[in-house]
Amino acid sequence: MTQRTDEIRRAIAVFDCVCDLPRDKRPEALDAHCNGNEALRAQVERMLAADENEDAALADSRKGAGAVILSHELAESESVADVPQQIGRYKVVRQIGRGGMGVVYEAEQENPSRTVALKILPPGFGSPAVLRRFQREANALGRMRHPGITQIFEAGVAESESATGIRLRQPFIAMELVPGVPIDDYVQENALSINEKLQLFAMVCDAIQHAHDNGVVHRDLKPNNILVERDGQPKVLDFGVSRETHAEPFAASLQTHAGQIVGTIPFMSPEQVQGDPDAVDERTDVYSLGVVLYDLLSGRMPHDLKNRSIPEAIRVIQEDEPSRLSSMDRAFRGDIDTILYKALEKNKERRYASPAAIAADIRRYLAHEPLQARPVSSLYQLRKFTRRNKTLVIGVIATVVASLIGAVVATVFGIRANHNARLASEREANARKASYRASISAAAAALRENDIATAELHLLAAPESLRNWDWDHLSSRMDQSLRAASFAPQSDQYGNEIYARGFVHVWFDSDSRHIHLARLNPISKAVDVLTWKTASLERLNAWSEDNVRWFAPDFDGDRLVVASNQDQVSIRNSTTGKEIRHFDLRPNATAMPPSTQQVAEKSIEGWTSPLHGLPENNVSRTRMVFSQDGRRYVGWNNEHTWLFNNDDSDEPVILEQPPEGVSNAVFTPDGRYLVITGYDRRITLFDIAHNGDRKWLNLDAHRDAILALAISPDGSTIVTGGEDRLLKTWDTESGRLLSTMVGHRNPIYAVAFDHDGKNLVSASADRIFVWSTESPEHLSVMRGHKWIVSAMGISPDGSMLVSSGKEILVWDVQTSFPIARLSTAQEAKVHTVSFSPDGRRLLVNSVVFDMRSGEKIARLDSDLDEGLEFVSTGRFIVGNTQLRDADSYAVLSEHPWLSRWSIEPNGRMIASAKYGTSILSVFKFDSFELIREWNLPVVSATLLLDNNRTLAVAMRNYGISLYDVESGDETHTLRGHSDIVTCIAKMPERDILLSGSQDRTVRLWDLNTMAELIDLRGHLDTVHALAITSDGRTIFSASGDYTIRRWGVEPLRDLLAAREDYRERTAELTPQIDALFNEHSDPATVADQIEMNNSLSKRDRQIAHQIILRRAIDNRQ
Amino acid sequence: MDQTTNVTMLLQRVAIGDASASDELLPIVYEDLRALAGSYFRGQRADHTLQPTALVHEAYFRLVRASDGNQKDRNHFMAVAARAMRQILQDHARNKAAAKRNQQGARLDLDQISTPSGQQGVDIIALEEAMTRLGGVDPRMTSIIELWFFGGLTTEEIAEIQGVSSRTVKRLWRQARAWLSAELSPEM
Repeated sequence: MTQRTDEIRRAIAVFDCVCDLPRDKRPEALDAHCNGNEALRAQVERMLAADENEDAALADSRKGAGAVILSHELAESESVADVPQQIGRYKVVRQIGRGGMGVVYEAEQENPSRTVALKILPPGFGSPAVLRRFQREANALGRMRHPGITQIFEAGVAESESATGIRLRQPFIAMELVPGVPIDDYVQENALSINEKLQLFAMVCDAIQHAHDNGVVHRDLKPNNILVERDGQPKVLDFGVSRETHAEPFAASLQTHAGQIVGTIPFMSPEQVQGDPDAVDERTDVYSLGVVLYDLLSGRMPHDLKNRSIPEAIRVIQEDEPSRLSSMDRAFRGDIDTILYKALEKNKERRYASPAAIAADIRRYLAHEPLQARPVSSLYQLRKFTRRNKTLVIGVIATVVASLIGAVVATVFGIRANHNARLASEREANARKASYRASISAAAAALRENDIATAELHLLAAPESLRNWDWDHLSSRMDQSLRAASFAPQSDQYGNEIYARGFVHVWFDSDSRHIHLARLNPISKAVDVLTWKTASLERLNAWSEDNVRWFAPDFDGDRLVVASNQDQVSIRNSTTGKEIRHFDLRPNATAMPPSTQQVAEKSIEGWTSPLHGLPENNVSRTRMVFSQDGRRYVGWNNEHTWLFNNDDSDEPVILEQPPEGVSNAVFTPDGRYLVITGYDRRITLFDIAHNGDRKWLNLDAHRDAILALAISPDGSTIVTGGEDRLLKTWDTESGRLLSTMVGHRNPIYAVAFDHDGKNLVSASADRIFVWSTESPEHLSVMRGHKWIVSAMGISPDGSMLVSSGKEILVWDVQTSFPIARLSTAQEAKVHTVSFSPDGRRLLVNSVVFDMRSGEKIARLDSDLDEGLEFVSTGRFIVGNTQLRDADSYAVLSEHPWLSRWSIEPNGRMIASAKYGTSILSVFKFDSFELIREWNLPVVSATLLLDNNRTLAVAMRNYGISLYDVESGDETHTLRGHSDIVTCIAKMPERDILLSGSQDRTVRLWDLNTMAELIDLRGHLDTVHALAITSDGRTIFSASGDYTIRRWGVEPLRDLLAAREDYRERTAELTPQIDALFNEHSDPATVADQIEMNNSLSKRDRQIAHQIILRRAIDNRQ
Repeated sequence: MDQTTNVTMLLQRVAIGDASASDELLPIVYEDLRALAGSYFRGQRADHTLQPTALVHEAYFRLVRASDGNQKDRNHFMAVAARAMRQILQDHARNKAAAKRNQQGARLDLDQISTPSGQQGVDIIALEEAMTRLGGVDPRMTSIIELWFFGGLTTEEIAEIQGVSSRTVKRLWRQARAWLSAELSPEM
């Protein structure tokens, strides 16, 4: 039985708590920690036994045993020579280089006789993703023919056998061997003049231009990748760095990320250090070329990054202007400076558009002609000087910072050695906090990229004692599925796991109550079929069949067609494997038949006979998929893709072939369109009615090969899954991305919709996930407002959220369902939304509503319109410089202080800005006794914290200052927002402050450490208001983008379950309420009846009140 | 650039926290350690009582040719070496198991490898599998086990390399060891 990571973690945690206890105390402690979990307890007991066992596998005495075993083992057998003698038809001469991506050998080819550079992946490094990247590099290189680019001769996979009998599949690229030196060494060794350097550099630009013309961006240009041959011909190498390096979830540990940056950081453009792969394009190469030119001309880098920390280096590249070459050497004044600065522009829009443009300007300079580039104007210069990057790009920075924490901690212990223990522990604590913050930021950044594996690594690295709402929030975002089940991956006879993409099908049966997964073991040729209950993912029986050539489920899902190697085809029950029918026939192609009925009638022409007009050997390697009506089918192999009509013998339509081959295909249910996915990450929609014309094409649909494909029963939605572990849904007509779903930790091989299109199932090698087709985005964004949402409030019972912009909307807190629209037009901007303490009345600005009928019951006019608010504990309403009675609404007193206020939660103190002044004060609520006042520049938001002692004030400098109310001193400033803070709130039950800002983010601050915990991003405009549930689990933010966003710590599946529950309860309660309305027309009476009904749960009553409110409003209209 | 300068530079990059350098270093150390470790028992050496630290130091001197011995560099080298040893042993055990299976055409039990001193054997493949799973829980645990099991280092030395307190190392080491030992114990 394999334990899951969290089980292991739990066992270790319990062991840690128990292992130091005396033996007799342990059983009791185990009882407490394991809480009846017998498996956990047994595990911990085994660990305790092993801990004390001196003969255990890893007992104390075995320190260093690994090395001894190793030596012994190696001595016994002759070691396998690492350098192969022969790879394919190349004779290896020697190894000439080695890097992360592979080994490069010098090798000899016989025919034609030549020496080549042979790049191969080291054995054991051949994960499918790496292989794919390798293939991509080969394809990219293969397209190019230019004297300045290393010529590729051949790419392929060589099979070899090692001394110990292991069959190695080694992908290789044979290319031109460049006998050259790096360009910077070359110019130095040959003491080139400025003009000679420029001529040489222009040739490099020509080569890169050729690559760009072929759609290849180099992304890693540096002198080491530009070799110059003896005859002066530059050659650009290593087009291997693709954007996928950023998205390689498992290989890319924290350290590799940081490491990749270190090596090439001086040559990276601002958009590249920003870590945004989407921002990188041809102009990124232009920037790197600029750095190379700068280096060649001056022997220096445009930015002095020596002795700088990595985050600092990133900041310099993003913000600081390069030092002018002319300031070092007057020879570079004028045109050369201009060319360099045009290439090194921070903003890629202002850079040279292409390498050709640089080359052209260089040649103009050499010919003494005027340049195209203009010297930078002094006005622009000034603007650039004053500009500061407002936001640090936290993802990259944090990643780097996290890897530096080790160094910080090391320093800390250096200090401890100096016997300054107290200081050391303080610094250690600080380092831990910094490490926590870095982990959270890095996890958030990875999650934004949908890279959950990396996000999880970072979350796990966050010290447990510091984990807070932010950690819970991110953790809840890691798996957006409804449920998941794991199963044993397939393995070969050596027990190695098999990644058999293309041999897996997953599907629902005809009533969607069961899920089947079938997979063909490509080595043993057995197919096994697993079955789960959809609702619980309880595993039912499994069956298997040997000697299978291929198999496919039929469209309704209850039957499976299995073709054996003995020219037999059987139709079997998906669940039991029981044979329903059986034929002697040999289908030639691997195809999914439209229905088992058609198979039975042998009415599928193309399925049983060779594909029209194709040579036999082509047919056997062709995969096929039928349209549901069986009238058409698509077939593809490595060379071609054909669209056939089944009912006539017309020539097939030849479709555009993706460069790396077709990975999957499906027809829309109406048979109008054909969707094809490619290993090169593309999705193409072909319009069958229009002779197979392309309707749309997305070349970059996933980050890696797309393997899984399905279409919804109504044909409206396409779902794809791939090696990037993401599931994406697309609008069939437009090709627009609808949603991205994360949860899978391994490549997704197969996906299917259920028969009403509400759920999806997807499968990797070891897990299936069931998903709702309601997108995560849809669930966390609440839409309905048609104007800026500027204020919100939550009802005292925590069930309703009221939001207001021009209109007032009521929502159910637990599900985010919209309940009712209270009013459609507010004249002025809404500042306040508050409930009376009993929750029966709602005050929006100066209008009071009855929350049972939804009717306007009072309007509290005054000269000012800053909004009024119920004081949560008292009988008062305050605002607009007035204090009013909460029931009679009579003005009790007028006070200039009661203008922009913040009332401490227990209602004892109030903080307020005096109307029309910049004076901010705190006074006792009942007596108006002034406690403290400050003269501060206009502030946008204030909050009096519940400790009675702290006032948080949003300042003009975008910081939030915390003032001690007693002393009046400013104790801390929270900095992070890059624009004005518009609202501040405190999370109940936790020492967390929240702020919303014009910078469109919501930020959370730890009031103990004063550190920023997390920034919540997603809003497209200013955040105007915040509301938090009383349990502190859910945050709502209202924005100028007309939406409200929900940020929580519950997994998506809980929200979906709550929504399901809400629908069920509503269906149950509605007839009761309808009956009551028939009896009593007055909503208040109906509400009272519900209130008195003891058989209803609290939640039922909350939902009933929502139904009553909606009904009351509907009835009035 | 010759190998010595290359290794020295890589170690310097490791020292400033550039972890890709240790990735680059790994194959070099891997090859050298494999040659060296094998020679210890192939009768080419009089000294049959192998000290892992001595093995690593010899590799270090061969690769770096530095007699002064910058302790920091050596520490970083040790971490890479321990990782390399784990990888060599894993590859080796796999190759061997595969070779045996190929010869006999039947499925074998897990590869039992016994040590020369006749101590209870450690199932290297099972250990590797368990280590991988443990790495999913806490990568620090696996590197501590590597340094202890392959590098023969004490918890204090490991603490110095990892830049954490030896108390933390001891705690993690004890947890990791208990879990691994329990995983590898026969009654499972």
